[in-house]
Amino acid sequence: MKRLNPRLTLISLLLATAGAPAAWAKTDLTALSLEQLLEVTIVGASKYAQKQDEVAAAAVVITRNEIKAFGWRTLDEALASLPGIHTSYDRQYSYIGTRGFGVPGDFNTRILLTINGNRVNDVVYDAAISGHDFPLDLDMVERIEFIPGPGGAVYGQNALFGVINVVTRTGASVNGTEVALSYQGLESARTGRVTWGKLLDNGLDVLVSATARKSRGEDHFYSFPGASVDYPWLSGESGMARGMNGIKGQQLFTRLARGPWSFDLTFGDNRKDDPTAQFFSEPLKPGQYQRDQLLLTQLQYEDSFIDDTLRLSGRLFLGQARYKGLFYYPSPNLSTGASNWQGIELRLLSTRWVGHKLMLGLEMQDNTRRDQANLYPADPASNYLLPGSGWRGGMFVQDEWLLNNNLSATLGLRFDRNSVTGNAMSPRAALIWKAAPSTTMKALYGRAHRAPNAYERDYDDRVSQVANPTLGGEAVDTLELVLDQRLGKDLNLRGSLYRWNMRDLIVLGTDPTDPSRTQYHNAGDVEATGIELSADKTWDWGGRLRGSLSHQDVAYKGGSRLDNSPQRLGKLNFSGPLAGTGLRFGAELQYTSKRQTLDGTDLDAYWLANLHLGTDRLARGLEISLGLYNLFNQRYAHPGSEINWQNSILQDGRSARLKAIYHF
Amino acid sequence: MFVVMIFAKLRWALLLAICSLLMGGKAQAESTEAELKAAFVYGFTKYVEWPAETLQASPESFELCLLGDRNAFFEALSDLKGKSVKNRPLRVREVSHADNFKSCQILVLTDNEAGHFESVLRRLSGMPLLTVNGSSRFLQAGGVISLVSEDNKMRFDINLAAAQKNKLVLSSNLLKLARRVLQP
Repeated sequence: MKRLNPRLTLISLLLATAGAPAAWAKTDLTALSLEQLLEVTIVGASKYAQKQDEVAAAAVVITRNEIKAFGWRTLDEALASLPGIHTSYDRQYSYIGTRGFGVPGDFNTRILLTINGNRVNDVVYDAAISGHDFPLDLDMVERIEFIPGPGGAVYGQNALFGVINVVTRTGASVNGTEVALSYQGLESARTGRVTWGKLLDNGLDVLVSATARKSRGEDHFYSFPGASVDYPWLSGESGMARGMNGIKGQQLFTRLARGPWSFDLTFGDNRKDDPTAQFFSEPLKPGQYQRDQLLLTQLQYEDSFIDDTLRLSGRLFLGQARYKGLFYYPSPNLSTGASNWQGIELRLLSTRWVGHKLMLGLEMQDNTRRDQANLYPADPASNYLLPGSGWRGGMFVQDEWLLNNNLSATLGLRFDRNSVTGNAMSPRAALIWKAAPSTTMKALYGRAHRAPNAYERDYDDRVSQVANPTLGGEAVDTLELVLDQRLGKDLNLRGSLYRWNMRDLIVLGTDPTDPSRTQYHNAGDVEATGIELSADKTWDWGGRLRGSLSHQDVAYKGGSRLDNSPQRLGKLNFSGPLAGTGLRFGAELQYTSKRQTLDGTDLDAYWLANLHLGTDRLARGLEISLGLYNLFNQRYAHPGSEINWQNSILQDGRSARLKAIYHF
Repeated sequence: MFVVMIFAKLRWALLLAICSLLMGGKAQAESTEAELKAAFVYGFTKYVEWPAETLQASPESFELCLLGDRNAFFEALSDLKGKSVKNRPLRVREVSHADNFKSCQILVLTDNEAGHFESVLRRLSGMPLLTVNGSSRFLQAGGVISLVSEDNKMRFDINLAAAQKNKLVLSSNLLKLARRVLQP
């Protein structure tokens, strides 16, 4: 850990360089008239920042202003700016690694992803889709809340390494019509969006937004090494995959809210062509793709009773996910997954007893459909259907107990039961000490469980993957110490020291009876210790610099290293206005140290820089922005997984995106 | 590898230097959301007339009351204390749900009070109080002014019926500057 020092120096150097313009005089806002105040631009720390020292976690928030400032196109790009997160992309899905954990090809099953509190993780794959396939246009996001660490004591299934809640905009914040168009070079990606939103006179807040995207994608050279036992004639090829990297997608979002009621509907349909020939299908064969459709709806109610000492929130939810993948072996094979789920969640928060915030929760989810199938259009007799269904339920209780003015404790316990692994208990305990008005210390403990999903346990195509009916659940225990220190009005420092211990980790391995097939196993225990240091500085002139360094030691209990687990990460995000130009810039730099791949070799460490420039609203409601991604054209790759021919997958080079938003 | 790292650092430093150069020049009218909202609350006092008897009830000071979490908005409002409103010094104080709010002229509810809007505002209805918060639900629940951010700027909506019920006279200029006015 002492080797962190060179980069600490870098941070302090940058602080010194960028701190120079901070000496500017600050306007006394109270001397301005209302007309003038209406013209003042808001900048700086999020309005939620102040509350974060009360949360029993090292929580972070990404605001809409930041999404605009940095020109992030996908959810995982926004999350990649946060401490301890490393993302990867296999040309099909994006994966969010957290605190050194990122098993290749795990579909983000250990992260709970929600939109306005509604689960995105489906019930066949548990997938928290977070890349171009995320069903919500990032332009519709008001803020992203990330709570790292185990959230199992409140959220149950999937909340092992963190909970990401995406909060959408409202009709009032759109207030009119918005049309957005963007074009990105090199991969010739075109995006169009139309949004209408308003707070009507009768108090109804309405928002409707539709997005369509089409991208040709960059062409890359791929090799398909090794010998496939079942299809030996497919092995050993290599070549340019031309026109096989395209994306076609649509997104629809609707939200209605009035008083304590709100309804939202999110729909995404994304088709990604596959240049990598996943699942060892025919190399360089055009037309292979994977498509995901996701529909999420919910009706929410939130209100207070009994002199405000009781707050009730409830929601009814319904979701549908459809997956379809077309592969050639070389005869066509359609792999499908279909899930339907619905359920109810109730939460009660009582402040009736002085010094206590008591929370009770209940959640029931019925997975009415959880089907997987393998279809062979040329040979229907070989069709293989795996219908299924299931359910899960949980209840939890949590108390935030104010021991004295400066010390509070959080104690919580959740009990889960499901149709796959039976019962599980997830406890949590936290102590939060406000040592001084600007210093907060937290000690946190939590456990979270995950039952294997239908894909991991039941999927069996009799060719490349076999089922494992004895597959059990996995659990993680996490201990964490957090120190939050505010220096002056505009510098926040945070240090976090953690240790997590994962038992019975579910990973994709090879079938012991036939090494040419894959199968999911409980692979043993993983132990990790790590440290995250972050700083967040804002200036009166409107600038903001946040950066973080993290270091983690992650290994299986016998000492062997984990794949796709970089030991060191560094992030630097700098944004602000360019004086006198009416422009705003967002520059980011990310460092990822080497990662181990499946064949035991390491991928090189890399630095990635992005630069984004945008106008404030120009005359007549027009905004224009230019984003340069992978600014220095860094050549870098991400690890492949057990389903890839390739041991590593090359990422995109430099590209530019031009975007215009017209508001009327 | 190390050489690559050094290069990346240099490139970054160069980029920063360019940014810093470009940023030289006059200060822009920019501020944090909390400070800006506080300035609006102060600004509103110049456009609102309270019933004479309420002001006479507290001739020594003008009372701004805060209900809710001690967040950044809360801190920024606290910084307003001592400023002159209606020819008397502004006093800023924290109140609780148990308070009867009788001596307040302005009541600001922070966002974490969202679950209590209806019940708090029901109790206040008809009292000569200017109530302010930052959510659209607040107006529907009977709040007078809602401050909301929109594209990095601050906007405000007014519930005129609630203002009239609270016997507040809002100047026509204030109504003109509002993004939206809920008519009685």
